[in-house]
Amino acid sequence: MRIEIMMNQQACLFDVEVGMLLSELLETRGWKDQAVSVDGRPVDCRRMLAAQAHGREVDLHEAVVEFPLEELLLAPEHSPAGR
Amino acid sequence: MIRQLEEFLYPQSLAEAVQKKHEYGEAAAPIAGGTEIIPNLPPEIRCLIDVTRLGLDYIEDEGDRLRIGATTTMHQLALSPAVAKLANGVLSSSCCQGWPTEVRNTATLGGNVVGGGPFADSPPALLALDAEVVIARLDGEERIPIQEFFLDYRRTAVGQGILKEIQIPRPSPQARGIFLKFGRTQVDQALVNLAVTVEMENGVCGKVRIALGAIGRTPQRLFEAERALLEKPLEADVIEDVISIVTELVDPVIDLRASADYRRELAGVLTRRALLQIAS
Repeated sequence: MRIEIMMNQQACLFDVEVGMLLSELLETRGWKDQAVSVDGRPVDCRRMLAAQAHGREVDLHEAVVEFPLEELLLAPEHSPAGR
Repeated sequence: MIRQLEEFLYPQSLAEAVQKKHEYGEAAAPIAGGTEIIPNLPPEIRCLIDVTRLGLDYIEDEGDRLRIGATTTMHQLALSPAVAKLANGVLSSSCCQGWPTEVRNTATLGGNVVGGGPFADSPPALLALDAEVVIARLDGEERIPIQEFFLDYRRTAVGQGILKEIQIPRPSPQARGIFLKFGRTQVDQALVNLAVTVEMENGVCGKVRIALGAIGRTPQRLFEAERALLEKPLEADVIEDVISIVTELVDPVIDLRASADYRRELAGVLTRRALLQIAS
């Protein structure tokens, strides 16, 4: 089915399967791990079908900053054992 | 991806939605927020009917009663001053305990009720408020008292109709109410939830409603416990009598979250807390 969404204030057309979750649609476009709001309200996009967003305004709120904590902790200069 | 789904419909009116539901029968279900139906989609469902574009997200105060549209979100309910005035905000409390903001923004009162889940939070509050559900059917509207709406585990009297609204008669100004929920964590579903409303008249209990959820296959009113409070003051010995009735009456379900004995004990504890808070 074809749905139309105002994505970050741009009209976008998507061909989606009926049972596709909104989170899956966003992931196929490379938009992962972002806070999502529909018509201005934060939603859980893993519990919402892409079809439900048809005709709605969907906004993606990117994370403030990437913070690779695990990589930093594993770096030799930060290891207490002095690897 | 939910692979069993084949169609998603956007009806333009409630009448069209009812017509589509009738055409597709058991293979179709209405969807609003989807937070209830998407994780619990019955295997026979092939078609979803979007009811969020039918103007059913309203809270209308008609003086003697409140009419709440089926697609009114938990967020709208939690913020509504009219809902907050109903017996100390017993329904408002049930709409915001343990719901993450993202879920509260999309979950609807209708979905919480029609889902028929015994663990849902709003049904005990609606039972304690003597609510009525209004169902749109092909041959018109049907009103059903909420205590007759829940038939069995996830089975309700909505049938081939679509829930249009919930009507709540305005309680008397003397009515006091409380909703309590006990879960393993703040956002987990209830191990037991409870709503109580009491109308005090000259120091004794007039109209009393005690409703429990998450304890049986459906949310339920405890009529015998309600009768035990009639025309009695809310004093310690009366409350203890009621608690012993409650713990005898309930027939708790057992699941991975709690044993029957634990739920029975919890039902008594929550009833005591609720009645003591109302008495104070």
